[in-house]
Amino acid sequence: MGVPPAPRRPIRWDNLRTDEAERVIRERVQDTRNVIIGTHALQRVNERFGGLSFTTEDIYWILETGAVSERPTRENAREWKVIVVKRMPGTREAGVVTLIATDKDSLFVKTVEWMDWLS
Amino acid sequence: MTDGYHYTGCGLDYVYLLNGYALHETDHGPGVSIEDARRLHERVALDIIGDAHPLRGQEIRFLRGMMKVSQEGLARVLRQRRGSVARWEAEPDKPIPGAADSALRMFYALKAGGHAMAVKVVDLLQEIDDLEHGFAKTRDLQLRNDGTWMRAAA
Repeated sequence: MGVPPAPRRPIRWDNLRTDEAERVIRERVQDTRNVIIGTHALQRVNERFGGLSFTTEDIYWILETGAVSERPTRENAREWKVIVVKRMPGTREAGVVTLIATDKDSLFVKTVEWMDWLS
Repeated sequence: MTDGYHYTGCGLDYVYLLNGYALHETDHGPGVSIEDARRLHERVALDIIGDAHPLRGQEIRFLRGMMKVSQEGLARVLRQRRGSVARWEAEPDKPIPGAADSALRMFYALKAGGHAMAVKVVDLLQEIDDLEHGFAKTRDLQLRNDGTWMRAAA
């Protein structure tokens, strides 16, 4: 007999908290079909740095192991926006600007940047 | 083979997905989702190290990303300078020196196969990376609403 899982508070979509956003993202990224990566996101990185700074593997890793840096903000009636931050191997922190859908199980990766560029 | 989705986002300019992907039109512009991307990337990495072609900058960046080590860390494994790894990665189409090529293939194969020593080396490199960049000197912890303590952004 296994230990029953701890009860989990349902997500409050009307007032999403930081820890809830992080939990939703980590759950959804387990199935990468849920993660829609905006083609604009990687293109911009390529243009700016003249070479690839981030890969999709980096993005999945950041979403899976990073932390939501600030309180989620409303993007529109159906999405919350957060920045998931992770220090990449080396020195710099990267941030993935992510939209969390409230009406389906998807995440939309709007952009990925070094945090010193975002701030 | 050039049909399908040209998957440049993985960091390699020659990967095409014939299926296992979906293109989306969203309010925020077009996007793509990939099915079981982590296993796809592992498959690509194994193909790279088993291929007869010399490793080039783009393969170095891809394999390093799969191992989650810094340029400094990879340089340590290959007994090179960090600057050399950075230079290789900046030249995506240029083959790297043969000795480093062989060493990286061998090391990645061991790591992917779960060889204890290779896994330990990667763990140590990640720890060194944390220590060198100061993240082990302080720990930012926050008490979550669910009563658990969590480390803040790392």
